[in-house]
Amino acid sequence: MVLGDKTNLLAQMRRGAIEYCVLALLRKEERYGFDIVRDLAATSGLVTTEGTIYPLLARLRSEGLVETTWQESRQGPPRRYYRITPEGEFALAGFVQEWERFRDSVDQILELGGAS
Amino acid sequence: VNNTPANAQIADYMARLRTALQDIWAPRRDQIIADVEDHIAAALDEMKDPTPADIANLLERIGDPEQIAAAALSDDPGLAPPSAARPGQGPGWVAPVTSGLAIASLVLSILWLAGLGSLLAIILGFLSLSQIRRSNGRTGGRGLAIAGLIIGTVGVLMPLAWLLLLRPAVSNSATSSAGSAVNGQAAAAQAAAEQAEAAQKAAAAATAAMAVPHCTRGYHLAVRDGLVSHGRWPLVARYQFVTLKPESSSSYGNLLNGRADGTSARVFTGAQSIGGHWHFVGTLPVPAPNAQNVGSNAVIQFTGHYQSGTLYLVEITFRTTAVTSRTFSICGLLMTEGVSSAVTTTAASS
Repeated sequence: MVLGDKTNLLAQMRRGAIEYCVLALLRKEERYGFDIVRDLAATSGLVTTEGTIYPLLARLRSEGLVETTWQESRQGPPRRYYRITPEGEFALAGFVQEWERFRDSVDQILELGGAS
Repeated sequence: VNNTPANAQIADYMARLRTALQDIWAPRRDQIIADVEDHIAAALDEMKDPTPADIANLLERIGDPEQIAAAALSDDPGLAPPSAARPGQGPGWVAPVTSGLAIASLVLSILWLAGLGSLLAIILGFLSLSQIRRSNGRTGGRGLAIAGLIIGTVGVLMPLAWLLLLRPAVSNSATSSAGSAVNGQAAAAQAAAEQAEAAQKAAAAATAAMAVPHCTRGYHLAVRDGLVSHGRWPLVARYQFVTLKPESSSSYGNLLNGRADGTSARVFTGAQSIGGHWHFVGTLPVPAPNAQNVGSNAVIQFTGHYQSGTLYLVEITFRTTAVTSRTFSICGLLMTEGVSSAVTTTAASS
């Protein structure tokens, strides 16, 4: 990775975290794909191209971390809603634990080095 | 919904997405496409009278189809080869290497090597199967190993089946032939075979004797010499018998009644013992061939009894075969102890 290559840096960091962000978005309620994508896109920098979330969602579903249901929508055809599974909850809990430790470690190092 | 230009934009986008995702594992691809379609539908729901620019903006936010495909592959590299989705073949799946043990198993099973190859094929077949199982998809050739196992098993079972089913039958027949009942038959058969052999020998000897000008066939008597007197008619046939074994003269006392050309006459002129072998010598006139006697026989017969009533018959036939070419044959028929044979000697007269 070339230093200063911001796009690549973000892509690398996003790769490990984004699927847990999706799981976190589903922790409280089930959502349909468009909703998830819009929320992720609304958070600056996490999603640049909305379509790229769908391959991730499809993989999470095949791994059993999320599941889908069809629900009637007020307008138009029924929508596919995503819901987190117990396996997804477990994976998310594990990530949260690791993430906090990782984030603290990185922050600590950055402060030690005098970065602001 | 009835916005045709928008529909065309979207349809074009979806077509590009399908093309970009065509190498992705189908179930995953179908889900991504369905999700994107849902996304577009949901976005359109929120818009009132979307302009082509709105649609373009929407599609731009979703992203380039190639980007989505790239994201799908980088998110899950196992999606790349169409076959990668088979169970147990996750990310980083590579074509399995055929098990060498499986190949060896199949080859040995076919070679058979008197059952040794089959045994080795079975062992190697099992080894390669467990190797393939443990390789987690890196080693292939399960079909080869199973083929080697099956052919190897057949190669072992066939000789075993032969031993179990056929051998008892063979040994049974061997045992029964040792039985006393069959023993008599065997002895009879052996005797018959010996008789046949003797007859065959006799026949062969007779044939050989016939080819010999000087007849030596006979148990006690032999036609030693045919006759030929050349030049003038009537020919004088001269004959001589000699005993093959030294005998006392009294043994041949009853050899008598020689007959020439149908005429009963005492034709032998004398018997003399030379070193114990008795020689009987006689002469016979043979008429000149003419239209009448061509093909007729001049016959000399000796009959008599020897010791305990055994019949001896000696017959000498002179045959004129043509008026100008005078060929004679002399044939002795000796009946000794049930075995008869014929001897022929041929001479030509100019």
